Amino acid sequence: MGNSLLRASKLDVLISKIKENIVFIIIYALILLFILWPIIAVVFNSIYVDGRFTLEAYSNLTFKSTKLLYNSFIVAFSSASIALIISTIIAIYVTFTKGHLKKFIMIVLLVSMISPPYVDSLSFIILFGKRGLITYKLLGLNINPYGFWGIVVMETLANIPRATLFIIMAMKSIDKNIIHASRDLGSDELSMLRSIILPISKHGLLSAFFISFVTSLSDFGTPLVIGGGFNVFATEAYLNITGVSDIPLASAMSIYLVIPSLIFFILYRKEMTRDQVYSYQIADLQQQDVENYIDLPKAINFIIKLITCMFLLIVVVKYTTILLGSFLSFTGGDVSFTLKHFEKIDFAKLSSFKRSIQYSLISGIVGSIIGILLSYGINRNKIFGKNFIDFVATLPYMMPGTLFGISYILAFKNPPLLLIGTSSIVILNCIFKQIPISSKAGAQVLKKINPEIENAAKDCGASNFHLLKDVILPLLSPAFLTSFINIFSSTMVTIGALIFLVSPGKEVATVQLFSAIKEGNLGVGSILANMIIFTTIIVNLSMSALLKGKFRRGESDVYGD
Amino acid sequence: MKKLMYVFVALLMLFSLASCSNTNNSSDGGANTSGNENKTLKIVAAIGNKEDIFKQFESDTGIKVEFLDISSGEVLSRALAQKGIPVADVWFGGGADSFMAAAKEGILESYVSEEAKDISDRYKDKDGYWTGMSIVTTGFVVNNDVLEEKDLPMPLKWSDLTNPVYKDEILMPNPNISGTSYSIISSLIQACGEEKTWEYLIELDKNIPYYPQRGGEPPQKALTGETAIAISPLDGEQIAKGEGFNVTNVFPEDGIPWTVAPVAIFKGAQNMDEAKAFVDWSLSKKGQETIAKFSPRIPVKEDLEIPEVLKDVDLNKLLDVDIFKAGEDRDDILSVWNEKIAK
Repeated sequence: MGNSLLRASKLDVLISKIKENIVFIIIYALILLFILWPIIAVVFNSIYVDGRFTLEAYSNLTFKSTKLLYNSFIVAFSSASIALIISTIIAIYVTFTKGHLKKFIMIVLLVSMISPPYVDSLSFIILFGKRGLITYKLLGLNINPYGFWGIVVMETLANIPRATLFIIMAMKSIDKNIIHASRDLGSDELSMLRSIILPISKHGLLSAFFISFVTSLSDFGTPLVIGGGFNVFATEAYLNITGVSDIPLASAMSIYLVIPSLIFFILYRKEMTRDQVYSYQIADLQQQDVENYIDLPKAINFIIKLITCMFLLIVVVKYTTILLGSFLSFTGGDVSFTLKHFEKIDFAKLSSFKRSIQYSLISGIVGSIIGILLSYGINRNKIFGKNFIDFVATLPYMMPGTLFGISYILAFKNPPLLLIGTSSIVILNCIFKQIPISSKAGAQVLKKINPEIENAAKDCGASNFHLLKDVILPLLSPAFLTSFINIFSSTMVTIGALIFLVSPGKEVATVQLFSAIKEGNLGVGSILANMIIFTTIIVNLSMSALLKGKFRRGESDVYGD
Repeated sequence: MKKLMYVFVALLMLFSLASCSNTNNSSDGGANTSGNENKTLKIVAAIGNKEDIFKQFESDTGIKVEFLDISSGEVLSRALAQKGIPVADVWFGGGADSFMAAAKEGILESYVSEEAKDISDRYKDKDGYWTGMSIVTTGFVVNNDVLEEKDLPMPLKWSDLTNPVYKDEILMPNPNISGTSYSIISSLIQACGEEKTWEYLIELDKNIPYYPQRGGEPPQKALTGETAIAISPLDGEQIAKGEGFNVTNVFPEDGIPWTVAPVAIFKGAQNMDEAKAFVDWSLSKKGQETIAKFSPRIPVKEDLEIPEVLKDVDLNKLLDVDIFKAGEDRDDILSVWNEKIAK
């Protein structure tokens, strides 16, 4: 009797354990199903060709491929490094100086994260091409922008906004007392920057570099448009799909491409965990609204200002060009105003646009929830295999988008997982492609939350469920906002994966945009790009207004401001 | 907690709604067999002004068209990846190479349209897996401003292009990617023999700075003056794109390479009857005239008029090409090209 009671209670414990962790178990299962399984399908496809196992696709990679891999690495490394330097400078400007442009910079950064595909490279060519409006028409130069530097410049510009936001987030969390203390101890402002601010922001700098590096490494679109004769690995993999239809080879190439990112990821994780202890100590005090000024030497201050303003100028010029592109006609070697492009915006384009918004909203909300719960599960729960799950969840970012699309076809073509031709496959792909962003955003915020808060809640008798709902989620709401904006914006402009997943009559705006550009119709392309940019801004703004109102109370409860 | 659950449930519903609306659509297409009003046909297409062509088909037959603009290479990859599940019902336009490869892979449905009877065997698959619907001619798009500025002569023949004055001023797409580019090389080989053609291509290579990875890039760059000369498909669509730009469209005097743009039905198409109706329509007089109007090319049927913009093309200059042999030789020719020329 007593024995069975004991057994019953053991079972109860197990059941309640499962119950308490059910959310995380489901999340982990989803990650395995929608990220790991498609990747396994790709790997399988690369080694099982025409009914037999072979490593041909891997061994076929010749000297040329090694060269391409080298090109990719150099491009990714250069653009991530330059982006890191410029982003750090802008972040210092925003966080620590008395500049007047701060609000404007934040707006510019948020807007420039919304970069519809191809249009930015094309506007670059319009401005700086061999017949560019600025280089040729204005300055009379005949320079060739195609090639290595063209790619690096475009990749760097694309990387800066996200990298800067990461670094600002890290710098803002620095305890001002540390700065005061070092000042009191007689440290000069410059060495304070070097030996205190930068080391403390290390995790932000690393995240910024990592995301930039990986994004550039797997990007095929920019090199395709302005690479000229300079080819990179991701483009070659893409062309093996679109040009030669050799999926095994493309799969093998993409797996090679993941390797450098992988090594980087492992190093990065080590750094991040080493950092954590330190972060906890400084996390008790939120410095979001408290200004921390440091007085840098005039010359350095000037350089910081100059670089920030140059970046602002470039972004403003770029978006003005895209904006004007809707009204300009470039025929006859002259530029003239026209409204003719608007005639081509028909019902099909509008409905594809509506579909884009719908998909992006769902992806933004569901993706953020999954990503944030995932980051919590990984960072705080002691569940077996969590490092593995974290690793799997980062993979979509390292794979070229095209291949992530193909992987969904390969993985979901047979019952019971038959999803081909549905809208679900498109949405699921968008959600899981962006999971790394939302889980990184969640992890960033989690680092700032003292785990003692959770322990206190537990001691007061809160169940895991209540802990999650009443303590963790309100605390993570800033991460929800960041990740929603990120995912919504990325999904609105994504194309690589989608071209293989959308079915006829179910086009999304970027596919229409790509078609317009393929047909050489830059005007229509610009209009679609502007529609994407403006909607994304509006949705992001309303979402942040909505969330700020809703969660303000919860935030102040804990941080006590 | 309740609130959280509500959000979850609401999202799940939103999500399943999105997927439901889709399955509903596709089952509608299959269930309604009486009357054409509710019928839909799914087409993947790579041809200019397809909206207008499909609108005409809709008004002629009452069958609604849903389409996706996607390049032939992408269609082939997608079809190979999802083997057994058709990408769409109909595949309309694009490179003949991809259609030949698809037929070989067994992902196309054999259908010999009544309307294809008077189309020469040179333009269609003998087993009916695909039928050529128009002839894509190739040539040069030349930017007059650049020529004038750099004081270059107008190239009129293939043999002109090897003139060293054009160094770095000619763009030609990578034949591994671009069906047009490959068809030019294979046409030249068939017309002039291997040895002479490779000699020529090696000479030409000295004037080509790089081989772009998209077929559309060279002509676009010629229009905007980013390059002086583009080797490009030269059909009504390309000519229309050049309107308003200071360019000259040159059909080479020493021979015009060409290929066909086919139409085909996918094996296992959900709307097979409608797909067949579309193929019939696209090859019929009405369909051919519609295609010629919105995407003007040389017609495959001899009794049809040549579209106005292509009236000046001397049909005798079309090279004598066997497109089937071109398809068979593709791997060999490309491996030689990659060895001798690719950089």
